[in-house]
Formats: sequence, structure tokens, C-alpha cells
Amino acid sequence: MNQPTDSLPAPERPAVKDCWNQIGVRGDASCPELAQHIHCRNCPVFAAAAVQLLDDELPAGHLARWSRHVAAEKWVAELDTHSVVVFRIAAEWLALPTTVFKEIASRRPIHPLPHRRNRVVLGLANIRGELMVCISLQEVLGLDAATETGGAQERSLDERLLVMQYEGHRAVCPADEVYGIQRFHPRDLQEVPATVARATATYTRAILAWQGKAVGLLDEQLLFHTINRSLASATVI
Amino acid sequence: MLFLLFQLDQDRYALEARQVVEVLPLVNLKQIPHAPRCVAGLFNYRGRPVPAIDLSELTLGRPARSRLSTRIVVINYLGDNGDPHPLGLIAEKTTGTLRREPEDFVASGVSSDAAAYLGPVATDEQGLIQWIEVKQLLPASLRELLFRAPEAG
Repeated sequence: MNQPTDSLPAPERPAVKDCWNQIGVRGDASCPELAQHIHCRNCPVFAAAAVQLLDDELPAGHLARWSRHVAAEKWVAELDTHSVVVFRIAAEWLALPTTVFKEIASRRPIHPLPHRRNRVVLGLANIRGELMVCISLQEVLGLDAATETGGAQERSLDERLLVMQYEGHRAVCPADEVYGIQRFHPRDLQEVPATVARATATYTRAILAWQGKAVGLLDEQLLFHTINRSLASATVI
Repeated sequence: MLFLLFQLDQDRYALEARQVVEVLPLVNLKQIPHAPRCVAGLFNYRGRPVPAIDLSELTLGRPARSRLSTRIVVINYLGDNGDPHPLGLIAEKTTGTLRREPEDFVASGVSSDAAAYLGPVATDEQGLIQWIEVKQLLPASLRELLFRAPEAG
């Protein structure tokens, strides 16, 4: 099995002794030097052959191709980006830092708790054999169930359970749709408009423009504070 | 400390890697009329014109060979007032690096004012390697020519 060498016009050049293909790691590995160098790429013979190959005339089109390449703006990976999970509840696209997520689980039955005192606590769900409390983010955030038709529990295949953990407190929240993880730079964040009077505004730290939508980046600390308070009031009888 | 190795004829020289921005293959150069012969030309580096100095022409009086192993080493050249200027150095056989401590280099014992860029030397199994001081590389007349009017235009 020979590697393709179409990019190297080789007729004039003195042949390179390709010992790595014969007795090296691409051959039968019988070279005594391998005991010392482990792999051909560490061997001075291999390095010398590379230098010999590079000591060659420029191939046709080389200058023009590299001139274009060097003239182009260099692609640099952006630093200091933050990572969030983007999800939808009712008609609102929201985001929470990826670090608070344990997993995204598929939809499953939520068992209601008897004597529950508030609408925030939906019940218990079985997550990997563990019963976890389900919280309605819709209720916490005061979102209108805009898509709800006649109160029917219309469920879609996009529905997921957000399994979250923040400072040791865990919660499971149903979401109508989960997009996935999105990275952004803090400078792309926009302020929450002061005119927004809904309860979401309290929990929204900033607005992130994403695929033409405004995604509310939630304040996880405040959100979990509210969730914990709701849990406490739900368990005290 | 990491050094970038290149050759002038048969001899090996080292540039401090910290000063190197990028090592590029040869590209098309726009000639500059009336410039000294060692100024090989201008090239478009990431959207800005950068002059390229041919080290072979500067030191040996012959242009660098047009080879795959001849490369343009982009460095940040600190001008007289401390401003960094990107500068391309065309160097032959720029194919390797070397990790050495600065103490491994000893004074060569030979110094000339005409070649103030030649620094101390280190040895390895293949012979001597001489450290090139980038700061001293360009004669005053050349610095004047290349970096005189950075705000022009």
C-alpha cells in the first residue's frame, strides 16, 4: 500500500531511500534503530530525508497559491468564550451556563406529589434510578403558555428534561425543546430591555442574539435560589 | 529557549524563536525599484504590506535559492523608537528548530562592525551554530528606508 505522491513531481530528484517503508514502521519494523527511536519520525535518517525532499524546486503554482494564503486574514480561535445550553420553554428561547447541566434526559413520566402546595413543583421523575424533583421553569419564570391549546397537555417529540445541578442543589426541569450547546463571547451580549416587565426579566442576565432570535441568558444563581425556596415551601407541610 | 535554524551557504544560524511571528513558504514579492539588493520586495501579509529582506543577499551577496526549504520568517522588528514592525526574512534551509539555553552560546571571539548581527556560537554534533541578533540585522540606512514613515498614507 503506497501513499499517494501525486503532489511531488519526482522525476529529476535523486531517489530518497525510503527505509521507513521497507524496514521502518511502515515496513516490517526490522530496523535496529527502532529500539532506540521507537518511531521513524524520531529518527535522524527520516529527518534527513525530509530535508532532502524540501530541498527541491518550487512546484508549479506554489508561489501563487501561498501568496493568496498568506494574504488572507488569519483565522484565530476566539478566546474567553462562554458556553451555554440553549433551550425553549413555551415561546421563549432561554440559556443557562453549560456547567450547571448534568445531562439532558428524554421525556418520561413525572409522578405528581400528593399534597403539593405550589404549582412550581411538578412532581418526581426517575433519572437513572434516582427520583428527582421536577420544577416548572415556566411557572418560576412566569411564562405564558402561548402554545398551549385549551389546556391540553400536548406533548411534542422535542420535549426534554433538563437535569441540572448548582452548588449541590439538583433540579429537573422540563423544556419544550433543547437546541444544544452554544458558545459566545461576552461582548456579544446585549442588555435586557428596561421595558420588559415580565418575571423573566428578573432572572435574565442578558440577551444573546442567536439565529435571529433573542435568547435570554438566565442568572443561574437567582434561579436556583427561587427553585430551592419553592422546594422548601413544597416540602414543609 | 527555542531557536529557529536556517543556513547561509553551508553554515547554520539560529534566530530566537520568541521573535518569530510565523514561518511562511516563499510567496510572490513585489519588487521595490531603487531599493538595495537585499530588499527582496513587498508581500501581502494578512492584508498589510510587509517588506522582505533576503538574508543570503544581505550577507553573502547572492539571492536565496528558490527552494521549498527556503522560507520567509516573519519577525517583529523593533524600530529605533521601540515600535514593532513586521519584517520578512528570506532564509535558506529553514527546516528545523533547536532547544538550547542561552548559556550554551559562547562568544565567537571574532566581531566586526560590518556584521554586528553575528552573535555568540553554540556547538552540536554537526558543528557550530551562530546566533543572529535580529536587532542588529539591518544597517541604519536600511532601517531608515523601511521604517521611516510608518504613518504615511
